[in-house]
Amino acid sequence: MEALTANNNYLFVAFSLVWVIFMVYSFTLSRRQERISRDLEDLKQSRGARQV
Amino acid sequence: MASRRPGMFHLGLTAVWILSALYLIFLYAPSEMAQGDVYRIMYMHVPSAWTALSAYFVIFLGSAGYLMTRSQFADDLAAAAGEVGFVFCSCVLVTGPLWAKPVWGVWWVWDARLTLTFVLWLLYVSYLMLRSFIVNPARAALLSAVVGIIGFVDVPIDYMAIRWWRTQHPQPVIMGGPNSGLPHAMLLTLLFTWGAFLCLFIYFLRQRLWLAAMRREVTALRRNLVAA
Repeated sequence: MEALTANNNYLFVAFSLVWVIFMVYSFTLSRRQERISRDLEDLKQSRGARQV
Repeated sequence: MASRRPGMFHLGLTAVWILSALYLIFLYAPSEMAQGDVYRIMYMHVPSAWTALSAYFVIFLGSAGYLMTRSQFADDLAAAAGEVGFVFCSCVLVTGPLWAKPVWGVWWVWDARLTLTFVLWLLYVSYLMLRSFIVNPARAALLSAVVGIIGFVDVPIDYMAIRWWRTQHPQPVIMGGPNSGLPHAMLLTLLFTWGAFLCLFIYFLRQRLWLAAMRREVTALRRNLVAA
């Protein structure tokens, strides 16, 4: 029984790592999206300035 | 014009589905007699594996679609599935050894299933590297479509490995023959969690497709500004 509960460390680490992987990917994806949105806004402003 | 960014509804649905899956995993599904609670790693490991295999199928569809129609969406779909599939395949390779160590006594063995899953992960890596190293977008799309289709050969072999060969990895518990099967509560939890992972996969996929559309819009705007 003790051996079985000792194995729960593996369970904890496995679940934690899966969510860390998902979080890291989600974070990098949202960083890239923010950057590209900023670029798009800058370009639209440049285009607007040229038209004026 | 860039496509609309995937909304909060999908994110909310995914969050609720995942939380419900966690409830089933820890409070509904019973312990396993021989392994105790550590077997619950299965609920992360198996759905990640099924999702990673499904993702490669999406790469295959996108690649074939691109080769047949030269559709930009098909190429974007394959690229997005490659990136998100890599994430899920990494989860398989992380959770597998953490389940193997307490149950088999070793972190890893080079049996057919584990080796082919590692090959699948390498295929994801090489697919993503190929896409990022080729500068010409049309050439990158064409070559990665070819690699995507050739690499897909690994998927059915990986899936069938535990049926065709004797492996350290357990024999299939679902659709594995008359002596296989899971108790109802475990099967329900497993399928429900796979649903949650597929929902998350589609959410990431939509986000990644939106990013690709935005990138193209930025490139087009830059080109217009330079030309003007």
